[in-house]
Parts: sequence; structure tokens; C-alpha cells
Amino acid sequence: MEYLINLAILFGIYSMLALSLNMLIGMGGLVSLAQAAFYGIGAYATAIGMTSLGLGFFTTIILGIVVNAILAFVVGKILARFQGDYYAIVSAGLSIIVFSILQNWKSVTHGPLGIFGIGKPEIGSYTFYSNTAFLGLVMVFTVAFYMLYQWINKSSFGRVLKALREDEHLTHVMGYKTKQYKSVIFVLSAALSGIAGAFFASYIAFIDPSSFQLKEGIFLFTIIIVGGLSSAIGSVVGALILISLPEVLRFVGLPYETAAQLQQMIYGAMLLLMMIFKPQGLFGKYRM
Amino acid sequence: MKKIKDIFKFKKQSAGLVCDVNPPSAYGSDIITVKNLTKQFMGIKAIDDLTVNFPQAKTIGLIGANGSGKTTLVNILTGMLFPDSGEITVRDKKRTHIKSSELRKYRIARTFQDGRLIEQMSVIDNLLLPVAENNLIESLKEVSTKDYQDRLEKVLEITSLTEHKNKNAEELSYGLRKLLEIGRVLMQDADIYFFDEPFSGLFPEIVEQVCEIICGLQSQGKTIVIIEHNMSLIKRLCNYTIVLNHGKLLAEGIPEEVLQNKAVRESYLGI
Amino acid sequence: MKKWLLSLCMVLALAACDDKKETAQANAKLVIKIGAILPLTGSQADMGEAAKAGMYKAIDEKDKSSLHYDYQFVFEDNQAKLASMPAIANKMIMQDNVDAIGMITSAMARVVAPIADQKEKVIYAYSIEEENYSSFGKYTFIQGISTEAIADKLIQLFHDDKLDNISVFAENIGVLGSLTSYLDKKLSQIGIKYEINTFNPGERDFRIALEKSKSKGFTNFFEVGFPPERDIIIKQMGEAGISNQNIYSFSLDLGKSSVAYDGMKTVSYNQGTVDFIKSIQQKYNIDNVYGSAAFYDFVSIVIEACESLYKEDQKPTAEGITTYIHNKKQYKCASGECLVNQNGFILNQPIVRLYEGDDWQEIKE
Repeated sequence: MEYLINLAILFGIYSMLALSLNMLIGMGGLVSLAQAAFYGIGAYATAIGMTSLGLGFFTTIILGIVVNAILAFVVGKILARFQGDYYAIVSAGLSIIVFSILQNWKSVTHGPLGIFGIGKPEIGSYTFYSNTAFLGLVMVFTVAFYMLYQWINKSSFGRVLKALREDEHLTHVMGYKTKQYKSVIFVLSAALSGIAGAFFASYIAFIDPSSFQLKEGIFLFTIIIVGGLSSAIGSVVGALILISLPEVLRFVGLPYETAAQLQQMIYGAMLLLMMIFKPQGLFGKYRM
Repeated sequence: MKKIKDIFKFKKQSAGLVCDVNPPSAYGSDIITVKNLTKQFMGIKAIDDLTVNFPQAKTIGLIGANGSGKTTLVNILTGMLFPDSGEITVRDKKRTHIKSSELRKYRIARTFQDGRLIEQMSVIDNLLLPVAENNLIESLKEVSTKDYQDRLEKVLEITSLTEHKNKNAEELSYGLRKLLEIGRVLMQDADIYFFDEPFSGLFPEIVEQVCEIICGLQSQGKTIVIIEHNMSLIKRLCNYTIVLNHGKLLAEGIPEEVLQNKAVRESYLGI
Repeated sequence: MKKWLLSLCMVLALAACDDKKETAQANAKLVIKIGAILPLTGSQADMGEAAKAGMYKAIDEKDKSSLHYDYQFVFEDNQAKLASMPAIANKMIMQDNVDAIGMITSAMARVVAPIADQKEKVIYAYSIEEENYSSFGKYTFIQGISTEAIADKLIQLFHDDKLDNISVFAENIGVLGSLTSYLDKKLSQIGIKYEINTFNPGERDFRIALEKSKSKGFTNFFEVGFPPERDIIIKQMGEAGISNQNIYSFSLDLGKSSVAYDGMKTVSYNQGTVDFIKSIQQKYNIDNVYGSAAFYDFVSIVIEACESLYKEDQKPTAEGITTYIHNKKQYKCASGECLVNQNGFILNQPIVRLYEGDDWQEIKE
């Protein structure tokens, strides 16, 4: 049971990340690989806030949101000038820069040695110490993220975003300040990723920069591609599959000597088949 | 935003209808004037020192041979292109150019020759797109499907898209796509409508449907500019005509008179 | 689609509920399961394989008939991902009923230590951290060599070679970062002209930095990096006209990937003696053996503890194994001698070697 709870917590955290990324890529058509950077900043805000500054978990969430929002606002201004592949490349650059800062700013982040002893969330005198309680809190936030996604999706804001991902010029002609829309969704997505990062830091109790590399951003991208772009349920199902599938394969009963390699092969083959039969992802509502 | 659910109160008429051209107001003044307008593309003058007026509340046929500058002129007037020189006056405001982001302010709506739709969005969302709240924060609070329900249903009915309303634009036939684009401009509470070849490639029954829609707008006193090659449709729908040739004004006036103009007959109609 | 999802959930649920099947017959030996969470796929897979080889060597060396327990291994792949550790550790403890878990890097142990304390399991990781680190957990052991001791050996080497200047190019990654800090401190103490250039994993172009160092008058260079950065920087040093005789290189293992270049002074560190490394390379046909010795030590000490507890009629609990290791204080291991401190840090003999005359020689004081 503990194993399942651990997986469910990871699933919740990755669902939050996937939902925030799908707002950006699925709804806004902005292919960003910088999500791992904002995820990392959120995690470090909690780690540093709780271990060095003595702040509470929820205060560090706000700290992470503020730092991410400011960074995303500035970077978003630059990124709004780019589209398509260029957007992806520049955002990947941001991911590498943030990783490098986490790795090298040793006086604050402890560099590659990481930060340990990160505490659990507290409300009043109650601490979410047990994994079950922590899972409950993660699920509350995951549902809130889901509802926020759906809200934006149905709003006029979401509609304009979905229009500009296909034809930014036309959307502009209709009188919408498209750069502002791109900037707002980038800031929102970054802030939300930071919240997921805070939960990750508290869950795992130890973080180092290795968890927030560019490849993590690519993994998140894979989640929403498999689940489906521009779909809230797709984001969640994508996270469920990419988190749980490799774990399910641990129980297939493969010989220990080659189990790990075979698991990766089966996992890869299953993803491949999924993309062959469902190129738009399982619940995708948008093709790039 | 003002509710305009009653703007489409026009009678359905038999095929081959002719619009009842009795505009209710402001007849005679010009809603757009263009003075000494020039636009070059790689040294070629698409618009050449053009001076022309668009009378208010008229249905204006903008005609001319291919390459005469019709679409360029409409693109300039809808902010898609900036002119090299000249002056544009819209609603008594003099400008060197119009920005596309100002179209709402000037209450201008347009369709495109190549039918620009948001392909992976539903018919409903395509229709609601131009009427979303401009303010970012307000637009997050606004769920347009509720706020514009009446208008949406009316437009869906007029454009015969009700049964297709949840389909993505990319799933529609050519005719329905044209109707969707027209529906999109109808959703806007505009005073000036530009239709860029709205009839091209349409079946006769859909042509009649589009004619009815244009007549409906006309009866509301809207200014309508139609780029069209089909002279019988121009005669049926328009009460004013502007003819361009090599980016210059060749003739303007009532269609019947303009089409009898010798220069027009020679250069455009090839007679 | 829904059916597919449902079956996925069912498999997960069943997997979690499936109790451990007792395979031991009534008259057979009881089973002690030793788990290892290793990077078995991905870019660090060779380190996982090295660890596995060390574990097999430890069990293969034992006379099975003299053992009172049947020792079995359980391996799980983590692809060196921190995020997956709590779930895998829980799976190993709850599902596989392991008695002890080994893992690579202290970062992983940081994550698993609270779980191990709660579930009362011994965990073990290798690192190169310092012995004055605080305890990770009650049942956690971290094995490593003091980076300060390695730095001392390097300084000794520079001193023996009578260097008057050295420019260090060091990769900023856990182990090497720590080593570089000590090098910085000790180089400043001996008073030779030196500089430290650090670079991140993934960097590929060192030409400008090398030219800068040359222009400052540096003639000796010391490279401290993991492959492939190590090989790239060495190649670019060659292109910059620096002869191999003036290059020192630091490597973590004795595999082919770290074999010395002609004339270059390659220094290496491993947790096992030269003979230990050679024997494991030959027997298990692997090249990179970094970590083999630590995992050999892990399995050896766990077996030793369990057998000893059996003789004293005690159960091989986490408490029992931990107390046994702590009480040992000092024991024979792959590097010759290991020391256990009160925080669970196991200090290896500081073994640093230099590649000379087609073979590795230990740098001795």
C-alpha cells in the first residue's frame, strides 16, 4: 500500500506539472522546454525557505510563485518574440541556465550536494507527516489545478489562446494583444509548476539539481504528448501512464539479470504503439 | 458589449432576390476616405496614388482585374498592411495607417479570400472568437458561450451551421467554411464589413444564402464592401461601385452606370 | 480506453497486494534478501553493472555450505532518478521483503533513509563525502573515501614532481566539486602558482579557457572530469599544444575508459585495491568497475553480520545488523581496511594510484 501511495503522490505531482505545461503547449501552442526550470525553482524555494529561512511550507509556495512569476514575466517578454521551433530552443536555453545556476550558486543551493531535511506541510498544529495525509493534500491541489485548467479552457481567454496557437496574426487582427496572452499563460504556467516543485521537495525531503535538468522538461513534454495536447484529462492520464507503466513492469516477473533492460524495451514499445495508433495522444484535441 | 440580437431581422425572399436598398440613416456622408494612398511591393505599385471615398450605409462593389489592387486596398483598410504614403480617414479620424488591433474600435470586420479559420477549433469557438472580452483579466472571468448565447444561436441559424456547431472547422465542407467565416463577421458588432470574394466556389443555393445575409446587413444600414468578379451579383447586391485598375481609381458610382463606362468595359470587362 | 486504464489500475493494485510467497521449505535455509537500487539502464548503467559485479563477487567467494542463510539478491532500476526512489524503496521493503538495500550515491540514501528508519531496514550507499557529515538515519551506512585524503595525495604528487605552477580544470559535480575545494585550499597552502577553472557537466569547448591559462604563464595542467568531458578536454589540451608530459588527469575508475594517455600522469581512485579491481574485471568481464568494491563490501558485511547474529541465536534484524557493524568499528574490506564512525560513515583506506609503466601504482606516503 505504501508503494501505491508513493506512486500516487508522484502521479499527483506530475499531473500538476502536466496540466500546467498543457496550458502552455496545448492551449497556447507555445512549445516550452523550460518547465523543469520553474519546477526546480519552486522546489528550491521550498527547500531553502524551509531549511534556511525557517518558513512554513505554504509560505514557501508563495515565495516560489513570486520568484517564478517574476522570472517568467521577464523571460516571457523575450520568448514572446519567438514562435515554434525557436520558442522551444530558447526555452531549452533557459532550462540549461537555471540548472547551471542551481549547480553553481553553492552558497544558496549547496550546488551538486543538494539540500536535505526539507520538512512536511503544516496547517496550524497539524503536520502532513504521513504519506497518506500528504497524498490527500497533493490530490486537493491536483484537483484544483484540473479545475483551473478547465476554467481557463472554457473562458474567452482560453479561446483566444487556442486561436493564437494556430493563427497568431488573425487573432491579432481581431484586436487581441497576442503577446500579452502569451506572456500571461507563460507566467501562470511557470507559477503553477513552482507549486508542483514545492510538493516534490517536501515529498522527497532532499533535492539536488539533477532532478531539474532539461531531460525532465522533455519527460513532461512526453507526458502531454502521450495523454494528448490541449486536454486536461489527457494531462492526467499521460502522467498516470508514464509514471505507472514502468512501475507495473516491475511486477511482470522478468528475470532479474535482464529485467531492467527488458522493462525499458517493453515500455518503449508500448509508447511507440500508442503513438502509432493514437498519434494525437489518447485524449488530444490539438495537433501541432 | 451591446446586444445586437435583432440586427438580422430581414425577410427570407425567393431565389434571385434584389436587396431593398433604402438605408435608414446617414445617407450621403463617407465613412472611409482614402487620399493619395500608395503601396509598393518590390518596386511595383499595387496601389498608386489612390484617392477614393466609401459612402456610409452603402453596399459597395469593389471590382477590378486580378492585380488591380482590390485586396491590397482592403488589407490596408483592415490593418493587415501599412501603406507607404497617403492618408486614411475613418469616421472623421485622419490616420496614416490603421492598426489591425484598432479594428474593433473602428467597428470594422472582414472576411478573407482564402478563408482563414481556426481549423482545430469548433464552429462555436470560431464564431465566439471575435467577441471575446479584450481585457485579459476580464476575459478570464468571461465564459462567452453564456454571454453571447442569443447572438450565437441566431448566427448559427442564419449560416445553417447549427447541426455542425460542435465540429471543428477543418471538418466542414468548402461551402460551410465560407458560411462560418461570414458567420464570424456577423458575430461582431461592426459598422463596416469587408467581404473578400465571398461567393467564389460556392454552390448556387449557398450563394443565395450569402446574398440574404448581405441584404440583412444592408437593411440594418451597415456599410458593406464586397470584392467580387461576378457582375450579376454586384448588380443585384450593390448600390455603389468602385473600379480599380493598376492601383488607380478607374471609375465609381451606381453599378449600372459604372458598368456602362467605356474605360471599365475595355479594361476590365474586356468588351 | 477506459477498459485499458482499468486494467492498468488493477495490475497496479494486484501487484501491491500480492504478498511475498514463502519459497523456503521447512527444512531449507531461511532467505536473506539483499536489494540494490541501481541505474541499470540509461547513461549510468555501467555503474549499476559494476555494483552488481561487486555483489556477486562477495557471494561467490563464500562457501555456501558454511552459510546459515540463503542469500538472494533483488535488483531494481532507478535510471539514477531521485524521484523514483521512495516508491522503489517501498516496493523492495513491502513487496520483496528485503533485509538491506544498497544504492549508489548518498543523494539516493538521503531520500530513502527516512523510509528505512520507519520500516527498520539497513541501507547502504557509496559516496565520497566527508566523515563529519551528520547521520542520514539510524540504519544508514555511507561508505566513502575522504576527498581531503585524495587531495593530500595529489599535492604530494605535485610536490614530488617539483611543479612550480598548475592550472586545474575541474568538473562541477558532487565528488569532483568536493575534491576541487580541497585542492584549492591545499594548493594555496603550499604556495605554488595555481588557478582553478570549473566547468559544468555537458560543456564541450574549453579552448578559450586553455588559451587564457597559457597566456597567464601556466605550463602544467590538471584535468578533473568524468568521461566524456574528460576525454574532450584532454583532446583540446593537445590541440592547444600542451604536451602529455605536462598534463595530469584524474579518473574515478580503472576501466579502459580511464586508461592513461601516453606520457600523461593519470591519477585514479577506487574503493578497492589494484588486485581486487583486476580480479573483478577478469571474472565478471566488465570494464568500468567504479563502485564494485563498495557493493562487495556492502554484501560482505551484511552476510558477516547475519551469520554472526545467527551464531549468537539472534534474528538478523536491522537493529542487529546495524549494531554489529557499529561494534566492528574497524574491519577488512576491498580497500584493505574500513573504519566505521558513530554516524554510520564507513571510511575506506585512502587509495590513490598513478598509472606508470603500463600499470597502476599506489601513491604511498
